[in-house]
Amino acid sequence: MADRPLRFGLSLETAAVATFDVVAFGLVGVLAGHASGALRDLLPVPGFGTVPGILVFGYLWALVLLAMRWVLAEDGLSRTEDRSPVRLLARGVAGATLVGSAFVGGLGLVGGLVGLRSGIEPLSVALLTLFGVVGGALGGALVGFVFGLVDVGLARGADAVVDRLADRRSR
Amino acid sequence: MAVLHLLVRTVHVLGMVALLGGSAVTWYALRSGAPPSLPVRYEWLFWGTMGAMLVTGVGNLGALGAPGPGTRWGTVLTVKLAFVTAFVVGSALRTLVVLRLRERGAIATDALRRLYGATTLALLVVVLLAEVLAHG
Repeated sequence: MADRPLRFGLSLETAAVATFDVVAFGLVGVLAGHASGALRDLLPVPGFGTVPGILVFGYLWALVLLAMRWVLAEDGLSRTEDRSPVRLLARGVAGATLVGSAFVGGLGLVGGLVGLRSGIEPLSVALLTLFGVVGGALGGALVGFVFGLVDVGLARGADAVVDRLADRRSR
Repeated sequence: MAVLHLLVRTVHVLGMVALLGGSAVTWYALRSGAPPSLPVRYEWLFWGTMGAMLVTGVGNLGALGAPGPGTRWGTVLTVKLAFVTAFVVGSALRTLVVLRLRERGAIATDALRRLYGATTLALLVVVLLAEVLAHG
């Protein structure tokens, strides 16, 4: 990738694509929840304040940034039309599977540990975490595939725009 | 708790100031020989701020309570969310174009100026929608 220098160990491409995926995923979720009327019943979440919300979002953002750094480590998103996107998509799905597992499993674990104080059995905490890891992996794989396609599509769109600009200048 | 909600709203408003002001400054500077690194700097600012905008936006909805989708306020919120989603997709494309131009060492000041002009106008539309949401 040529978009050096790095900041916080991340290239701009990695930071931008990871943040785009998180923000677009969040916006589509909020839009769908609002349009269906479900958001009115969900927000505000009882017993879940602003600070936990910010921490949960920060946790997801950090996970996606780390995963995206690994996904784009080989060649980034540049010149995707010159190579098969299958390997990139496979890495995207693998990265998102890990993100989903760590995110939902992590939330299940923290929620379970908090619940220990109100009498939840340790076995229930372990099961909650396990279901979170497995469910998060499945959900993450699906989301990773969809956003992998979107990201590759955007990269190809950007290449097409830049090619067109180069053609105009050469004429 | 009220102080925390005020802080969240303040971060949301200041984030919009950074996005809109940054794109307007980048557009204007590109008209008068801006350094080639300026668009890249704006893109770093943009995506860092967008993450904060999402979390503070959802925080605002949580604090105020989400409206029903059939109400007037709900309809404006639907329009704003749809517009912002489309804007974020367009912004990802803009960032990748900026990076590709940089990778190829291409100078396309006119194209970049148009991109940041369009970004500024789109952000002004978001501000207008937010004003309607806040004050009717």
